[in-house]
Amino acid sequence: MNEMVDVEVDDHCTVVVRAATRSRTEDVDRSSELGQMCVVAGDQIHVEPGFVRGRGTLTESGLLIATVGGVVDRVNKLVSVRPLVSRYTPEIGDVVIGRVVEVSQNRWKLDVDARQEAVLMLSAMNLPGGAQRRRTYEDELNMRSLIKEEDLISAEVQELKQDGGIALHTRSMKYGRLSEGQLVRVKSALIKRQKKRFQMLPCEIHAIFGNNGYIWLSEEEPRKELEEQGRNTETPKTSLDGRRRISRLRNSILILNEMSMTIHAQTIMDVYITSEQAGLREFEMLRQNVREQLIERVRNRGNF
Amino acid sequence: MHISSTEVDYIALGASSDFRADGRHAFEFRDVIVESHLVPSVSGSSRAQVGGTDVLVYVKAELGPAQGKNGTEGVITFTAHYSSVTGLDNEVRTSNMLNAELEESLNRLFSEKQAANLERLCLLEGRVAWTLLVDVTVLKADGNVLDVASFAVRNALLSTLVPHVEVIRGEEGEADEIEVDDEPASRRLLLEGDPPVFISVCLLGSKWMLDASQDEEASMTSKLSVGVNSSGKVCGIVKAGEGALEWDGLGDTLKTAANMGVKIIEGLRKVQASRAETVGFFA
Amino acid sequence: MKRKGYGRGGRNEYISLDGLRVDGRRPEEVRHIACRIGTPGNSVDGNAYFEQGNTRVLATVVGPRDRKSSTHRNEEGMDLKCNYSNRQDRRSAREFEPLLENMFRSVILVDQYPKSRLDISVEVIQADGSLLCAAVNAISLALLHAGVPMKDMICAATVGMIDGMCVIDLNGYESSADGPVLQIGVLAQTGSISLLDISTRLSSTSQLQEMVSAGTEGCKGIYAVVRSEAHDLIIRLASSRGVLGA
Repeated sequence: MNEMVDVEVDDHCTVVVRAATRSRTEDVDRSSELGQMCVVAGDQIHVEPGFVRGRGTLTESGLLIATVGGVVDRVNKLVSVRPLVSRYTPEIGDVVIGRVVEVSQNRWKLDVDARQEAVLMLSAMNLPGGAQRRRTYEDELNMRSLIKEEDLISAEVQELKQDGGIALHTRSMKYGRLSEGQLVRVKSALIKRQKKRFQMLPCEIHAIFGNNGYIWLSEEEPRKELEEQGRNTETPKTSLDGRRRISRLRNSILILNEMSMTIHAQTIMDVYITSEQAGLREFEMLRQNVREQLIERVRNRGNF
Repeated sequence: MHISSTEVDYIALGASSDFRADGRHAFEFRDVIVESHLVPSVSGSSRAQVGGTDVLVYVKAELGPAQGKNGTEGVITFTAHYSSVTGLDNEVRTSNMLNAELEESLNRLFSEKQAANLERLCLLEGRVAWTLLVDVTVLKADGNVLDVASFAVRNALLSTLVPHVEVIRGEEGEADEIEVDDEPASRRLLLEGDPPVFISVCLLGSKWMLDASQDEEASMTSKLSVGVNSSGKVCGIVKAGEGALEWDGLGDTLKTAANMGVKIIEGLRKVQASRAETVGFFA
Repeated sequence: MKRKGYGRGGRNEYISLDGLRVDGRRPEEVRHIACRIGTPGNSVDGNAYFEQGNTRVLATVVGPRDRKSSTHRNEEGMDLKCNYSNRQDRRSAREFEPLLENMFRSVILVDQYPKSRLDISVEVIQADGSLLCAAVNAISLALLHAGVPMKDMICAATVGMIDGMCVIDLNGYESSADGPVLQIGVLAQTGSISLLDISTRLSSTSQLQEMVSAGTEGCKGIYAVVRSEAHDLIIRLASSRGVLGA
């Protein structure tokens, strides 16, 4: 039978249906200093004789050609193009967060959103009993009890192989399997290369800034002995208030990512605080028009 | 879909606290953005975006043989695919799981008597009727693809334009004929009916929620997709997911889903009526 | 069934006595081009939306990323795969995909990324002629957006010979005219030809030369718009990250 449903049933049962709106694209000044320094793949770069070819370029018939879109960088005679968008390119010492895609005899393979998968050898891992303990056959059998497929882990880039392979290690207490928190994925180019990748943000949420564009947010500090991380251990659950703060951070980070702005503690907190001051609910921040207004306000505060 | 067991636990606990990763409550929908008349070269078209999910629907109206028991019905059939522009792995996106769920669910929903009045599509009994070929293309997938596709389907069907067709009664002994007017200016709206939309509810832990994101869908144990029309009438239910359901509380959840369906259909109607500028991919 | 039409009656007309085409263009004129590089809310590496008149296509790029050992081929360098889809014409993929793969394999620096793969995808939103060319233009922008290293960008255009005249950038209606149709793709900076595809027999090599030359001009015109949009994108990205002085 036809039934007219009471539309006031639940206050939180809401939806906004709207037409698409054109988004604003900012005008650019092509003749500005910045405009002159920007190149597109295939562009010829002006050089003085005796130049040295750097990254992001190739030479053809004595001319220097850009191979990626980006900004021309000149350091003495070295001319290169710094790409503005690209897949994560690891460097030794980077902290990355990766997802396990394969568990085999004595290693894990991880997806770190780079051009190749990364490898974490059992021998490169921090095991209970201290770093000097030899890996046993039992360890190999028990690999999945430590870290299994789809798990997220934080690790450091140890070595880059000739063929582009990436070797990771977790030989410090702060690395290991991640649980009880929220993953946020952004473009890796937006993560500033900074010294402190493990930070506690002013709103008392811990953040790991993976150089590969993966950010981990948690209420508890992600530092545990691997023993404690055993799969049967009870990790303290995130409080509701912690979830709220994590959610607001997550949305702030996603907004910066959407607007292609650099992502670090300062910029994130700028968006976070502005959204709180504007009385916005966490979810409201993500609306297209709200997002644009938020960034306007943040820019006017002079931090960009 | 790649998600770890601890992430699933985190999401499930969030659900039970009525606080989801993006800050939504359990029954809150992400904003629904719709547009029609995107592609003038087909009979009808519409696009719907919800969060990171983006679906484009084309309708091609053709004259074909009348169908049904008494030859008094037209036909609406659906084809669906996840475009490779979604970035999904080829194996995943061409798998039966994704495409079949979409196609089968839509075909089944629209085969229900209440969903589409196929008799109105018939032009000459036993001979000629409109055949609507509805093609659903998923451009981006971030959860709840079926619901979003159904919003675009509804809009596309209701904005489908066809040439004016006149039935010319035959003289004595002669069969009736139809005359099709190819003049573009004489095109008219084909359907005035009430195509239903899907509203899906997912069970996460012990809590039901609307409009699951991709992560939430990967964590859910059961999904019910309810076909709802503008008066809140349920036209069909499709179940997905490996979990079993408790009956307790299910009735209220279905009511909420139907309630949301009514709200969304009303919203779609308003946007359609507002004749907003078609923005397309410059949004 | 009868049809009451408004047909053109008699011979189809493509170019009026004033030398204008059905959509008001002159023979050497390319249609209006609009594009959007990087549509919002996308998780792929590069994406671009490209309009050439009423032909509208979407292109995305994923990679370079790990090539799973199961799809290992005995090739060094990058594994490149192109997926082309037009829901209104499902057979064209088989013809276009290898052409697109070959074209872009010649400009992408595949040797830089051994053991990796690149997936290029195209979805046709609306078709009104010159689909392969529009796909090429969209893909060039998507590759730039993804930061895939390339020697050059490729732009492509169709050229027809109608009523003895070279006609550039054919729309759907013009594509059905009699006469040869050339699809030409040109490397933007060097001008070398990356795609040369002719549909029917030409009457002479000088005719080919004329069409190639007209096509190259057309591609230059398209590249002017493409490069300007691409350059604007780079400037916007640079300024939003405060690159100057960073």
